[in-house]
Amino acid sequence: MIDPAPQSAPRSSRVTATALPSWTRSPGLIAGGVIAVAIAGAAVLLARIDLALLALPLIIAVTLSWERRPPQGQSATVTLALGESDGSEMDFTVRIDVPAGVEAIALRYSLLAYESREIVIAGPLAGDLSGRVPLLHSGPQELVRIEYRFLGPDAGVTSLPQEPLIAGRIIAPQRAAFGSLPVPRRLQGLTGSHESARAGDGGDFRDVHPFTAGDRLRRIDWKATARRGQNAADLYVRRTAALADATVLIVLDSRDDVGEQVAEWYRNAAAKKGISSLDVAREAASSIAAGYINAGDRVGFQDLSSRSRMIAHGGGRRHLWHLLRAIEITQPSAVAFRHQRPPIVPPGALVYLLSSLLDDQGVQLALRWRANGHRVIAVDVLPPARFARTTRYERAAHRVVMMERDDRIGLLRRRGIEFLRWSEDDTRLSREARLQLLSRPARAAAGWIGARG
Amino acid sequence: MNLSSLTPPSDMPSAGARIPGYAVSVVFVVAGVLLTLVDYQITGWVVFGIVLSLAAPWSPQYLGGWILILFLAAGELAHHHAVLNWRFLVVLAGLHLLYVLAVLALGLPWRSWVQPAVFLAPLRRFVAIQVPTQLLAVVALLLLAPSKDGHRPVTVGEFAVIGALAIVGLALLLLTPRLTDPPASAS
Repeated sequence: MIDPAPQSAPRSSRVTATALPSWTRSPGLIAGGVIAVAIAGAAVLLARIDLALLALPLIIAVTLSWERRPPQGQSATVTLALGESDGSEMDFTVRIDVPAGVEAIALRYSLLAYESREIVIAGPLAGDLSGRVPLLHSGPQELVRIEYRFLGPDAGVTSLPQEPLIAGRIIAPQRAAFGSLPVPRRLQGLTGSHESARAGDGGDFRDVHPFTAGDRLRRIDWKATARRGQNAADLYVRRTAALADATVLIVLDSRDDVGEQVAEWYRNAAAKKGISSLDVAREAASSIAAGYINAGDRVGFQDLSSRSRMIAHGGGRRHLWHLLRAIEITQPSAVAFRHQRPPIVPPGALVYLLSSLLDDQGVQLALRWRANGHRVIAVDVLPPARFARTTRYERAAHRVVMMERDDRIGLLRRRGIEFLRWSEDDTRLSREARLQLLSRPARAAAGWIGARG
Repeated sequence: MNLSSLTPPSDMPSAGARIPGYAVSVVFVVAGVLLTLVDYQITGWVVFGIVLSLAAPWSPQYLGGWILILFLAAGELAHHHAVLNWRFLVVLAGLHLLYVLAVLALGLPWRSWVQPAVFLAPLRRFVAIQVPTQLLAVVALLLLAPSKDGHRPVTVGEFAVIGALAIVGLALLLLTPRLTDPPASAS
């Protein structure tokens, strides 16, 4: 479990660098000149025409390499651009405008910040190079990084390596749509799409109640009055439920990002780790946010690894766009961030805690919110583990970590915090079905989910 | 890196880089060993040449390739005088080839994949240098190399004249481009 280092270089879809290459003589060129002169000197001293002939091609080769070196002061322009993506891969192009005299370009590139590859291309053919990079993760990421240096004739003159060009992009997570979503125990507001416990307007039939001051006359249920009324003054009205909206706070624990490949936990290479916990968390957060906003509810967002990534609860399309943007750019922070106080939760809000539950901090926050009377749903975003290329020790360490995690999950359940595993693997119920169970009235659902979830 | 991972990059197919960078080192080893055998034939010195041929491309930054060139040039001293035979002409081309390969091995990353076109310009230069050099070597050795009885077809005086003419020709060759260049403007 390694937090990736923060990006120091800017990331964008198109990066252009213009540089004045600084040329240096290769040690081989100097050594070639030295041995050519040495052989020629020996030829003179020993009066050997054959040695002089052996020195001749070396002298010419060294002279040509030096004479035809690229001139100082000519700039080179390299452009790295990302193209369109088809969802699983993205095109990229590298355009290199080389100075005159450059015979080859040594290009080092890496995709998804993984192992670098080196190719050497001929200078005259270095027009547009194109390639494809797989899109394996959501969120902000470095897609292509290139470094380059120019080679003169026979590689006898080379330029110093130039600053790397980095192209990155923020990949939006996939979103799932749900038919029903859980609501807080206490709904608030006078408008919305959920029926509250209060009597009011807009909802379905609630009950038949004796007429009281303030009830509208058209609500009088004459059949019920005739059936129940003991005297002429007894009137009964049909009451409907009031409508209300739900307030939801999504808390995303982005302090760690571990992949499904356990063997990669210590290295955390984006290209090899498989689906990561933050991929799952981003998908879950954006799906939940879109589901509630589309239902007319108010949603807030809090990223546990950053003070700055907090969005107060609100509703509407514009607010949804803000939420999705904040979720997309969520990434682990290299600086550990410990909360002195838990993030403020609006009264009566439903709290979703999206966490891999690999440490205690998220659990402690969830317990505090639950103790304050909020309904808390812990969403497990750890993807199912895969053990390819793991050692015996890594499997043992993983087992210990999972046992500690199971203890945390057990503690959460005992304290009345509902638990939802987001990944679809190895579960008898689909995610949709599990969400429907959570959407049932709290008293009935808590025990059922606790037993099977 | 293991051998199974040595495949041309498929994520940038337009580059067409198909030749592994270490191929230069492999060719250097083959050329070095063959030249050692041609130059020294079957003697104890062959071992030193083969060791140099193997070690030089392993760490090109230590310039072992250039030591090998010196070693092979020194092999000509085994003959008491210059002789024109196929071995000399092979060594003449081989030393030049070793130099080109050694400089390339120093400049090209050994883990890289190289476009075949990268080798075109060095190959053209190699041929452009070798063709006149081989002709010159044949003519020079025919004229200047003493025969078995010690007789030289060209005497020292005649050689001085030919040498002077050659120097004049070389000077013209080198100076003509500079004299025809426009003078640099004062900035």
